[in-house]
Amino acid sequence: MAQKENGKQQLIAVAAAILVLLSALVDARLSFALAIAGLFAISFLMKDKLWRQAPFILASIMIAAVVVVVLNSQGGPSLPGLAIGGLVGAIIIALALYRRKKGVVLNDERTIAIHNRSMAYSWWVSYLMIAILFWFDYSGYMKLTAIQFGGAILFTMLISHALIKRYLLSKGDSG
Amino acid sequence: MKTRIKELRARYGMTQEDLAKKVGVRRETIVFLEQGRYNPSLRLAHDVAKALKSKIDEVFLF
Repeated sequence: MAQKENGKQQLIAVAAAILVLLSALVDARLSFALAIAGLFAISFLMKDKLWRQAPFILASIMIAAVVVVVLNSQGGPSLPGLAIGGLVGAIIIALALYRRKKGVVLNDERTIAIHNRSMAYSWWVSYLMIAILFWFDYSGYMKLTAIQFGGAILFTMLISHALIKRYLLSKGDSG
Repeated sequence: MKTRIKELRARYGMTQEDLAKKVGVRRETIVFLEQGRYNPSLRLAHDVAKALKSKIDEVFLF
């Protein structure tokens, strides 16, 4: 059964790799985007721990690389600023890995359910924000650039997710 | 939901941390279970009952 599962996993991975290589013949950016999507798909479809974690991490690094390139090309935050952000992120990840290595359970069914529920709520809050900003802009009450609009949504989602998750964690249950 | 986790845990001289490690959850989850503030999945309820050498309906009082 396990061998059959592994065979299926490898087949999906090979098919995804072929698709990415073929798309490279059409357009390099398409190939890159497909590679990211493929890695996430592999990560979510696989049962095996390594097959779930490794592609997810790789895809996240690729997205981070894209963000860095985009920000630099548009005169966004400086490289030292991004380096500090990266260092903070690396420290957080290192701490989480250290705790996991020590045998501390970081996530269980309760925290996963709470995470998912807070994601759903934060999506609704962001949707509301999109609607409000859209009508403000449409009515001429305030004029927003794309970057302001995107930034507002991004931070609304991040902050509302963090706050709702904190609230549900203190409450004990996701319901 | 009321539970007898605290009572059974004390009977076997187990700390919340010990029980959490045994069933593979965070210690806070055991705290919320004991306080009756979290309704566990059937699997977790089974694991907790097994760790406390009891039946599910002896641990969780419906």
